[in-house]
Amino acid sequence: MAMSQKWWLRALIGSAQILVLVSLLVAAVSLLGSSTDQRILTVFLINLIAAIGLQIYTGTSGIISFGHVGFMALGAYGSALFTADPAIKAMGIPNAPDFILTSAMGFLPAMLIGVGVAAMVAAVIGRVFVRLGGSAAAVATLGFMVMVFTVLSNAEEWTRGAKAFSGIPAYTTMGWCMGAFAVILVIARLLRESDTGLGLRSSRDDAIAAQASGVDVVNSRYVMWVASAACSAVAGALYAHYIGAILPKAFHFELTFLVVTMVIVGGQSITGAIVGTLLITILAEALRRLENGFSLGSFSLSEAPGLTTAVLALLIVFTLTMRPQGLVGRWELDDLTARWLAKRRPAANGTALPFEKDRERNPAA
Amino acid sequence: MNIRMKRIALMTAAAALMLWPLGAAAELKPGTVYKIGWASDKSNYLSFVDEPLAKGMEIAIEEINAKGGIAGKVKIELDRRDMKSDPMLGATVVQELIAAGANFIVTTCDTDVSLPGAQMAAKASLPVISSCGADAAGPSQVPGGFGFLNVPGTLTQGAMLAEYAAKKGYKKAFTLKSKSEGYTHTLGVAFEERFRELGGEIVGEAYYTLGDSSYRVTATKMASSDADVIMTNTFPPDTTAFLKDLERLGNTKPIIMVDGNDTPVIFDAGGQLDISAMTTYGGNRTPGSAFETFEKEYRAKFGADPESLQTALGYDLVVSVAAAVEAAGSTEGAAVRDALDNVENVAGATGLISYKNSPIGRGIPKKDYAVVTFDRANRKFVVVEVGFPQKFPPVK
Repeated sequence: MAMSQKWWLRALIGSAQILVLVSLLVAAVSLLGSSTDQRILTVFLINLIAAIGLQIYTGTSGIISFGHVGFMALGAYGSALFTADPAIKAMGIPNAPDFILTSAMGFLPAMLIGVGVAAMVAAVIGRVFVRLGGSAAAVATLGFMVMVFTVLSNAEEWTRGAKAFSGIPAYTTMGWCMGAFAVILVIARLLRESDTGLGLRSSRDDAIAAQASGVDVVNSRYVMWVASAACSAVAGALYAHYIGAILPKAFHFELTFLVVTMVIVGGQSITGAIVGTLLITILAEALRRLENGFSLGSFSLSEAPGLTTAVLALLIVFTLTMRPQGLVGRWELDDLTARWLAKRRPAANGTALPFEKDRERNPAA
Repeated sequence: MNIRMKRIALMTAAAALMLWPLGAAAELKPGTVYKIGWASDKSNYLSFVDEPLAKGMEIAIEEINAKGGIAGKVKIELDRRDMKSDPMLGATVVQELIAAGANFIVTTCDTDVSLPGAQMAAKASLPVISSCGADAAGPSQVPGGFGFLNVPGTLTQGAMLAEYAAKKGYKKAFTLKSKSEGYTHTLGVAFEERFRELGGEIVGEAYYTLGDSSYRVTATKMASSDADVIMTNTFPPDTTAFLKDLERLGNTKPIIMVDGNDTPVIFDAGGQLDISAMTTYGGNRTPGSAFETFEKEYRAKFGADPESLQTALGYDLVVSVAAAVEAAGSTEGAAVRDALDNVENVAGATGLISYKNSPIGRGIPKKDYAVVTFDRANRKFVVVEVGFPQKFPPVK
C-alpha cells in the first residue's frame, strides 16, 4: 500500500514541478510579452497538450504514431459542430442533422463530445492497432490520419468538406489552455507511473521479457492508446476554438510532422514532450523571423523561405542519429532533480532514488 | 447658457479634441505611407501562385509611388511575410502585421486557409483581401463586411465554362474534381449545375487527390465514355500528368480547363492542348491594352515574360486598393472598406474591375472572363471569347 502511494505521489509532485515552471513562463510572457508573443504562447500550450497526448502512447509503448493528429481533428470538429452559431450552421451545413444544426452548447460539454468521439474511434480501431509495432504501426497510424482527413473532406453535409468551417466561438483562452494542460499533465503522469504504465515502459526494449514478467502488453497499450487519443482530442478542441475556422487540411501532414518532431526530439518522457515542444516552438519562431532576411557582420541573407522546415528536418535526423532516446531520454523532471540532488549529496543515507523504485516494482523496467 | 448646457458644450469640445488626432492620422497626408501587410505563402504549396502575384504587386506599387503615391500623396509599402499555407500561422502573421502598422491586410491564395487571418484583420477593423482565393462564400465569413476577393470566384467561372461548353454544342460532359480543396471542387460543381441547366448531361464524375501523378484509370474511363467534352478542375502539375495520360490513350474529346492553368508550365502538357480551352482573365490582350502595357512594364522590370496570370492579378489588387483609399480620402479601415465596396470600373491589368453592386455578392469583384486556346508553337494563349456568365449558382 505504501508503495502504491509512492507512485501517485511521485506523479503529482512531478506534475507540480512542471506546472510551476510552465506557470512562470506563462506569467512572464503575459506580463512582458507582446500580443503576438501571447498568441505564440497559446499555440505553444495547445501543441504541448497535443505532444503530451501523443507521448502517453509513444512514450510508454515505444511505438510511434503518425495518426494522433486524426484524433485532434475529431476533437476539433466534434467540439466546433456543437458550439458554432446555429445561424452560421444553417448557411454552411444546411443539410446536417437537426441535433447539430440546433445545438449551441457551452465549451466544456462540446469539448467532451469531441473527446468522447475520438476516444470511441480509438477504442474501436485500437484493438487492432495496439498489436502492431515498428514500421507496421507507423504505416497504419499514418493511414488512419489520412482516413480521417478523407472522411472530413468528403462529409460535406457535416463539415463543409474541404472548405473552412467557420463561426466557431473563440472560447480558448490562456486560462483554458493552462487548465487543460494541468489536467492532462496529471493524467499523463499518473498513467505513466501506474503499474500499467510501468509495465508498458518495460516492454519498450523487450516485449517478450516484459510479458514473461507478467506484463499484459496488449491491454496496457490499449489503455494508453485510448487515453492518448482523448488527450489529443482536447488539443484539437482548443485549436478549433482558438483559430475560429477549421478545415481538414489543417490536420494533415504538416501538423503531424510538427507534433511528432516535438516528441522525438524531446525524448520518451512527459518532460521530454514538454522540452521538445518548447525547443521546437522557440526554434521555429526564431527561424521564421530569420526567413524574412538578416545580416550578421559581412554576411547578409535577404530571404530564406523554407529555412524552418529544413532545420526541423535536420534536427530530427540529428536526434535520431546522435541521441535516439531524445534530449531528455526516459527521465522526468523529478527524476532529474533527484539525480542532481543526489550528486550534490553523495551517499547521503543510502535510500533509493525515486526512479530506482521502478526496478523494485518491476525488475524488467 | 445654463450650467447643464455649458457642461455639454465642454464635453463635446473635449470629445472633439480627443477624436481630432485620430481623424487627422487617417487623412491622406503627403509623405505618409499606406502599408499593405501580406500574410503570404513563400515556402509551401501556395507559393506557386503568391510568388508571381508579388511581382505584379511590385509593379503596381512602383507605378503608383512614381506618381507620388495614392492621390499623389501617400506612398504604398508592402510588408510580405511567410505563413507557409498554415491557417494557424496565418492568423499569427496577420497579428504581427497589424502590430507592425499594416493599414490593409492581404491573405494567401486560398480563401479557406486565409479565413483565420482574415477574421483577425476584421477584429482590428482592417479590410482584408485574399490574393487570389476564389470561394465566393469567403467574404461573408469575415465579420463586419471587411472581407474581399480579388477574383470573381469559382461559381462564376464554373458557369462561364458551362456556357462556353453549351455554345460549342457539347451535350454530355465528364468532370474531374478534387475534394482536397474548395477551389478544385466548387468550381466543378458550379460547372455541372449550370451545364445541366443549359440542357447538358453529366455522364461521369471522377475525383483525384491534389498531387496525383497518375490518371490512367480516370483517363481511360473518360476516353471510352460517350461524353463529348471533358471538364477538368486540375491545375499544374496535376493537369500536366492528366493531359499526358489522355494523350497516351489517343483521346480526341475536347477538354476545358480552369484559370489555375494560366501559367507557361501548361505548355509542357503536350498535344492535348490542341483540343483544349481554358477560362482565365485579361481578355483584351491586343496592342495598347492594359494587359499589354502591364506585360511591357513587367519585362522592363524583370527581364522576362510574366510567368503566369497571377502577376496581373497582383497588379489588379494594388490598383483596386489604391483606388479605394483615394476615394475614401482616408487610411482608416472602415472608410477604405466602404470605398472598396463602391469601387467601379478601375483599370486593372486584366480589364475593368468593379466591386460596386457586384452581381456575385458583396466583396467579390466583377471582372470579365476570357476563354483562351493554346498556341503551342509560340507558347501563347489565344483569346477566343470574352464575357461574363449570364447566370451562375448562388453563393452557399
